[in-house]
Amino acid sequence: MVRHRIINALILLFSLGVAVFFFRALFIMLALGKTEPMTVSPESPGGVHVMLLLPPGEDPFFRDLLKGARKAASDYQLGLEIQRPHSMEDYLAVARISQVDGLALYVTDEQALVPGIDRLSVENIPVITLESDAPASRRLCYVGSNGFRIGQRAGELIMERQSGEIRAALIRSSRLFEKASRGEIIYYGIQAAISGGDNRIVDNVLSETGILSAEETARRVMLRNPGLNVIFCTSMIDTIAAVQALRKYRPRRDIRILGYGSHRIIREGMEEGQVAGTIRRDGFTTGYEGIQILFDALEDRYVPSARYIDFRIDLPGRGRP
Amino acid sequence: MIRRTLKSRIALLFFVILLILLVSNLYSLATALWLRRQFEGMYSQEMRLGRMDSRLERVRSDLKVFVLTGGAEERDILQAALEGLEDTVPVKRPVSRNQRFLMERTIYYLIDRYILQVEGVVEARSRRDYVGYSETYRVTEKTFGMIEDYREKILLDNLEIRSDQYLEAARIYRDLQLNNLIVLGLAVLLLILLILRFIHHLAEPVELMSRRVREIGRGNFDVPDIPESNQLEISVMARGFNEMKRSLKNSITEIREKAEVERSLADQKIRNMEMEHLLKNAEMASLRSHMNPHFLFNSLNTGVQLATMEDADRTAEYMDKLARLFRHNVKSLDQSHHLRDEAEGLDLYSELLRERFGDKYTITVQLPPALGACPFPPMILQPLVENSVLHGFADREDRDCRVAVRGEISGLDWLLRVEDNGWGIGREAREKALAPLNPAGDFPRRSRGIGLRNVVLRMRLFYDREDAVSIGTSLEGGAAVILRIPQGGIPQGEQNGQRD
Repeated sequence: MVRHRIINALILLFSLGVAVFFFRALFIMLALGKTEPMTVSPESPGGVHVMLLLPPGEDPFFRDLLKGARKAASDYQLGLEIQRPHSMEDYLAVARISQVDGLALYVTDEQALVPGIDRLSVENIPVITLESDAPASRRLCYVGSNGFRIGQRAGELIMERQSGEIRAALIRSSRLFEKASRGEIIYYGIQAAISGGDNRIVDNVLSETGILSAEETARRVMLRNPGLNVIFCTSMIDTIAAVQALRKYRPRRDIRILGYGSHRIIREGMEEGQVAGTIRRDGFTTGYEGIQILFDALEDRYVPSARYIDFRIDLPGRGRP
Repeated sequence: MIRRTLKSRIALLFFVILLILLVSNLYSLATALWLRRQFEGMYSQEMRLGRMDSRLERVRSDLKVFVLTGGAEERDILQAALEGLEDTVPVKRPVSRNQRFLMERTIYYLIDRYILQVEGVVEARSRRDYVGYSETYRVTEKTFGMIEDYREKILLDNLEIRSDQYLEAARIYRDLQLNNLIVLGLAVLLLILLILRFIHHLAEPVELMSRRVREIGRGNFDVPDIPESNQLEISVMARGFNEMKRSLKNSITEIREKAEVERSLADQKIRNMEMEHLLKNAEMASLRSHMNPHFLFNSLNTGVQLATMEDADRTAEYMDKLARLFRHNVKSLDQSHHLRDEAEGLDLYSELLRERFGDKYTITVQLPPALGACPFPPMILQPLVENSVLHGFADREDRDCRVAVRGEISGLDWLLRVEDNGWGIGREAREKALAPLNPAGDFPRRSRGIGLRNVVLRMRLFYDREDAVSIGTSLEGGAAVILRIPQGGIPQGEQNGQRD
């Protein structure tokens, strides 16, 4: 009887084992089927093809923006094609040829891109600009931070932190701002904030691409402006470069930097007193809302001409002013 | 309980085995097919793009040749190449949520555009519009570059993804292989266990039956029943075996009981024969004495008459009593006898003793009235009293010789005590008297008279019990012979006979 029970128990055990391993295999296959498809599965429930054009580079802001855009595409079941070309012009043409349903882009060269944007608009393909606008174009909506407000807020911060006359320099990323009006908008914002007295922006330069070139640009700005006490950078690379240049060439703490990003060097600069504050834009929300507005446009819903996304300024010792 | 036949059980076992093997194999096949599909699917896009690219290259080279030559043959070749390219481009272009498939979709639109542009070049070249076809050709090259750019991006993306996917697929493949191995191993073990269980299930009742048969063969019919199986044949066998066991047991019990009865009857018969033998002996003795009694009766009667004639009244009375005693004793051998008859004989005997010895011997008889009606073998009490007189009071000079016969109830038996105040009975004599029956020794040809031994044997035979007589010592130190009579005086043998 005992032997009989043992055999029955073993049969039950092995049957369970077979079932467990059988289902394990099934789960492995099912789980794999839900991940990045190895097989061809081109069908999409929405059937909407949206193209997103961003400049190349590893800027954290764009990384967050891509995350937001992908999330929105997933939420609204859109097919999102992301391209990060050096020349966006050709891709505007490609977008038109491939009959995309909508386009979102960061404008790097207004003059070059406006005709393409206009042509897409003429062909009823809605175009949204993200963070960098082309106001002269027939784009549908701008989604991003308010450049003027950023400049103004930065100028106000300079006024708060800097006693005496302000001698400020603006270093703009050539990759992002050389041919875009956004740099100018920020410039006007700063100027509006610091106007009065003998305060003035003494230098407004475009930095070269790459950290060494950017550092060299910062060094040159410092050398040619002896009374300089504030440097405002419009990209994370420029901010890092300015911190490093300041450490090397102007160890005296008479110049404050205002910049972008939260890189380790920038955080150290804040702790050491070289960086007065950094502007943090919300890339995720920008990307998400950009695609969301595009979706609204495709659904024939109301779309505003601009959707400003909040930004914040991180200060040494505290998160926000 | 559902009972299955052996045939259906074997069929079920094979079916289960086949099913497990089938499922295991199907499972292995399914995983292998799935993996093959995965690996094939991994490179399907590359294969599509590769086919498309080769045709695109062919169109491009054919276009160059046509632009250079402008010949009709080259145009036909170009046309064929364009048709080949068109074949690689699907008409249905669903939108994917995957970046690489979206880019592939874009490539198809670019190819559409490229084909139109090539046709534009062909048309311009045919019209010899050199400026037009040069410009259009430049545009086709740009579109071609764009297509290549897209294709390279897809391939580059795929290369990164495929590397990861390949590693992942290889890991999964190993995992699944191990999983399959475990599943197959477990399935094999499961099969072995199922077969073992089946064999065990089949063999266990047979083995049990074999053991029980051996037990029964040894004569043990009290072995427990074989439990019924859920297998029909085994169940039938078990039921049959159990019934057979019970039937055998009943038969054997009956035979034993019959043998017991027969043996009992045989014993009874032997006892009867012994009794008959004793009676015959007694009868022979009586017959032998019949001659003497007749002679004695005649002589005694003559003596009585003579004594009367001579006026010897006392002598006449004595002889008369003696004659009556003899007559009583002889009569008691011929007809049914009861204890009161025996008491009557004892009275005659005591009167004779009184005549002979005066008041030397005092014989008292106290019997409850119910005891008097008990059937009782003849010549029991008188020999016992005689034994006391002859041996118990031998050489006694005093005149206080008392023999008491007393009846009483003890449990289910009557006890008849014959006690005296004489010398008692010695151990040797007692053992000799109470020894078991020995027909060879107890019935000599020549009778020595009816003594204690004879009384013991006859009592035992009459009442069919070994404890019919016991000998002890009386309260006064004399002999005490205790006769044990079943209540009602019915001998045990007859009681059994009545019961039967």
